[in-house]
Amino acid sequence: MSKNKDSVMSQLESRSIVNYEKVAVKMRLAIKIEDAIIKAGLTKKEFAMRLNKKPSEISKWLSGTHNFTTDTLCDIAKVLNVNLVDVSGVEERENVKSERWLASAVR
Amino acid sequence: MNFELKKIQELSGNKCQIYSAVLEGESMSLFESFLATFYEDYTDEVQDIYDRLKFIGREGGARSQFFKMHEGTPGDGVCALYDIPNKRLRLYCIIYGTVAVILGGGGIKRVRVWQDDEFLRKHAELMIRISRIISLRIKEGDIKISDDGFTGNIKINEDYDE
Repeated sequence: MSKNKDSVMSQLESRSIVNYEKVAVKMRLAIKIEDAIIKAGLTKKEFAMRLNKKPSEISKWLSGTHNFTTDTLCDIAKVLNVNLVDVSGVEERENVKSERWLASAVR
Repeated sequence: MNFELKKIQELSGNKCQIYSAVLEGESMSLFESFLATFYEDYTDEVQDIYDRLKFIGREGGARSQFFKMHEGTPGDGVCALYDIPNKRLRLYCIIYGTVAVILGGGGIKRVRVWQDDEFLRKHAELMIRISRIISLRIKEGDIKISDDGFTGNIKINEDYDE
């Protein structure tokens, strides 16, 4: 029994190297949303009503197990006035590519 | 019922100390037994539970949002770690603020309430009993809780005290 216990724990630790960050992102997101709800002065019921959802669905969102769609994250971000999806670097890289193309075309 | 609280070093961290109970006569804690029982058939679910507990220990603390509260009697802190959606592998716990958690056992939840499943009932009732005993010891000053977890006499001999 003891050998089996140690074997399971070491397998879990080994797989954790890959799995942990995926789990951690979901839980950090859940914390950020809950803190934003509190900061906005809303109850979970009021927050649910603003998004036309049931309170039970909000509880699942905050559980740290939920896999959000980007549409849902955008809706939540709008209600809570918080940034949940940061893709601000993309536009900058596209501008750099255009400038380089123009520079080579002018030569 | 006699038991000892055993800290799970792999999961404990700066934000929360994570324990399980080792019942007298057993070589494994309730949580280790849970892992051994379900790991082979529910590998992904058990891995997810393990990593969520690790996050709780290291980063998040035992925030109530991560648990289905009120699984036991009112005010006893007995709860369940949220199941992965549609998977329903339930682990019963007792939380003490955000700084300490005692992990128990659990199983697959195929019923609406644990009282309707003999296996789940056994584990939920065990945690209710452990919670009651720990609360009494805290009240008597035998056990203390701080950011460092439980200190004092964490080897509970209920029979002796009777």
